[in-house]
Amino acid sequence: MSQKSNSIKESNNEVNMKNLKYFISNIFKKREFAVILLILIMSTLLIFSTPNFLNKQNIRVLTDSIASDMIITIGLTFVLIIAGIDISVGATIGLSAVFAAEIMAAGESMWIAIGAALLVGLIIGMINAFFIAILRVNPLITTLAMQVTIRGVAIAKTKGYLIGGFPKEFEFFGQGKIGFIGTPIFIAIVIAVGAYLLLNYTAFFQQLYFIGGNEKAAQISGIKIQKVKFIIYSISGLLAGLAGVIVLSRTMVGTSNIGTGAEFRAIPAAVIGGASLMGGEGNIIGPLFGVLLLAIINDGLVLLGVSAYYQALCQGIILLLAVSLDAILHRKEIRV
Amino acid sequence: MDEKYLLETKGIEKRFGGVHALKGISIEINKGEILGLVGENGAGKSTLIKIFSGVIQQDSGDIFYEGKEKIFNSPADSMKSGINTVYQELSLVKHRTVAQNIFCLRESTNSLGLINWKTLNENAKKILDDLDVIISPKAYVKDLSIADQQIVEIAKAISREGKLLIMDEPTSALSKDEINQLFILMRRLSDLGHSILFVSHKIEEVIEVSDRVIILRDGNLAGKLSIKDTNLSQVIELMVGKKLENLFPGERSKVGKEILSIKNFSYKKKFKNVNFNLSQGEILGIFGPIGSGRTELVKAICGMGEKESGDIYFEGNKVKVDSPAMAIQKGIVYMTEDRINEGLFFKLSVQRNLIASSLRSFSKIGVLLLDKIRVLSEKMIELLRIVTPGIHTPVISLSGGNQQKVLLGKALLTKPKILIADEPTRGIDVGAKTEIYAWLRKLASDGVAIIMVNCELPEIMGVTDRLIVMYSGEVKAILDTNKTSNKEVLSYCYDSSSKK
Repeated sequence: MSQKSNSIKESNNEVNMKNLKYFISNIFKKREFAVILLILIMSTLLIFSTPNFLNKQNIRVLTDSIASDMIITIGLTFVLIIAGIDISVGATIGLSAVFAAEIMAAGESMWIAIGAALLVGLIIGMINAFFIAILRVNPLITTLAMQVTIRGVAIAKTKGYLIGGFPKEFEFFGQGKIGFIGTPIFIAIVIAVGAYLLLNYTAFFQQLYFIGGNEKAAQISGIKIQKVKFIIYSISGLLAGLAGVIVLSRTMVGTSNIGTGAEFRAIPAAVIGGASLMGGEGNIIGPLFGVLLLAIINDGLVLLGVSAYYQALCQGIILLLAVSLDAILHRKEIRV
Repeated sequence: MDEKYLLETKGIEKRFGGVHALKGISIEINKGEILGLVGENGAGKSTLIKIFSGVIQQDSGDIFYEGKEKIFNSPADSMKSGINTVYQELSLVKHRTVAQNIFCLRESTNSLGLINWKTLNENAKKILDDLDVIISPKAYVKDLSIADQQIVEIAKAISREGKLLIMDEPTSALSKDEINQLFILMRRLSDLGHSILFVSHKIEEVIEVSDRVIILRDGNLAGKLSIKDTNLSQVIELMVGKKLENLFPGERSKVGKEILSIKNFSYKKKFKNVNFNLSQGEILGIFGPIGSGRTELVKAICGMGEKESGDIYFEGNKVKVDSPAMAIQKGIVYMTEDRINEGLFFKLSVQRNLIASSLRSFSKIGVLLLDKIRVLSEKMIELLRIVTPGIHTPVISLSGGNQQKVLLGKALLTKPKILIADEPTRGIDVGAKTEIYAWLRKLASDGVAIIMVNCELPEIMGVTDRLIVMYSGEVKAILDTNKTSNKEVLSYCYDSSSKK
């Protein structure tokens, strides 16, 4: 009897050893590892080349500024996993910020403004979802059209004017602190943890991988593709609405061009972090480190005195590099 | 090197991670011969032909092609050397015409560099005429039956000037007549000096058409025989390493109460006025040639296809099944004939594939039960004897038979009351077939009602209790398998009026 239980214990140990080995060998294969390594290398370089990188002010600005990008990247990662894309998130940030700004400028409470911003984001997400999930329009074209349309609404509403005069308390969301960390990054982390749990531990989000992996097989397996897609694009819009609130609270001025180009930071961040344009893969942690990496690169360029006029150029190149990496890593999968 | 061989390999080795796929394979292909290549799934057939066609490269060992040492670095490289491959999975562009597919990227152009459509279509017609088939070069591939698509694929391969034609399971979707035509063509090509490497699970066919046969088992060369000196049972024995006693499970299971009744099912010209019943513990076969409407019919039952009229009675009640999700919820599960396009998620792990249809039962208030998922996946892998390095291995790296078992496992985890298996043994070897049949019978004994769609008569006769014979959308007969004969079944499959 005891002999038997001993041998079971031994084999259990063996299994544990195996699991450990598997775990360790897997860490090095994980994309998160590569991204974190790059972050460390970049940071080390910047620490030695500029005195200001570790400056408290710089760290605070860096973390506050990435919060909104982190939030939209989470939504975008969901969308990428189902092999979709959403390039309307930047414009959604803009329109929801404009709505919130106008409501506060009209003297309404900031809570109503925040609610309105979230609602605007959600509605935009649902419009995207309607075209993509129900009418089955190509997601790139749908969200491109929406991007232009939404930005157009923001411009029409503001007519180019700046909107200001918000209650002082509204600063809390973009500039305040909760404990020792900034509110924006706090909100982003809470959402990231929530998204991580949802993606890894719920049946609903598990369906994303099936849809992205093989849509037809997913449908035959009994997954309600239209419903899942609808919800995912809606979430992407809702999160962009939230990002709009944070960005507005940081600047405290409403303009129609808030959030311009945010998707061009979020897409490469997600792809560098392990999501794929081909769908079916990706997680939350990698893309978030992807956002951090891109922000550090951008910060470094500023600290090193590279003119702001080159920023768009750098963004474009980084996006191209990221999607090339994605294509190269997936080349093997193409079946002959 | 001796120049009498077109291609010769010496000690080819290939590993994929922990899997030793080829263990020192030395073979030779003579000029102008038809060489059969057989082996169970996972024996290394696909690996070997992928090396010849340049998709992958060997780890060690040499290949001599026309007397010179050669490594095929890419499919283009291999093609340039005169090796053309017809894969089991069709690689046609559906929204282009037959002629465009045959001459893909090699369109004849006029002096301005523009495509000369007339010549293109004429050339395609010439090739198709040589094949003795009636397919219009101007037809769109998407409008062709799978059998015709296969023929276009073959036409595409032979239209290139080639020395070696590799055919990977070319007959799996063809009817007996079409197969005979193909064999005639293969012999003609061989007389013209082409070498053909013919890979098939159907050993009878290999013996019928080949000059020699090579048998692989577990990555080893198990035999290299001249067809004159061998026979079916010897080849099978070498292939599986033991004598195959019974291909089909013997005992019939006890038939329980009626669970499904289909009344007056019709959809356009695909199927007309279909009626049948299905009981627990019963395996009901649906037999019919390609185009008989068999797949369309079962898809309509599972909420996937369309129907214009007709009712489904499930457990005595009239039900509506509008989507696969609804069907699965009721316990009606469809196992697709097309595991590549609509069955599996190739990039995802074995475990994820297994649970795809039963997320609901693997979660509680929406939260995944990770332990349960792992335990049941491992159990399923063990039960079905799925050969995989682990539960996290992507299914793309599994052999065809093992992929098919994953597909079965996915269906089983939903705990089906009715399992509709559409060609459950398509493109897999004898050993795996036997296992899948044994499983279907075991499920039936456990009270599951099974509908098996199949176009292989021996299989359907060996496995089913009753069988429906379909021809051009109509149910021609419902027969008791024990009381019928191959001849009787086939007699319903030909429309006497349309016979040439």
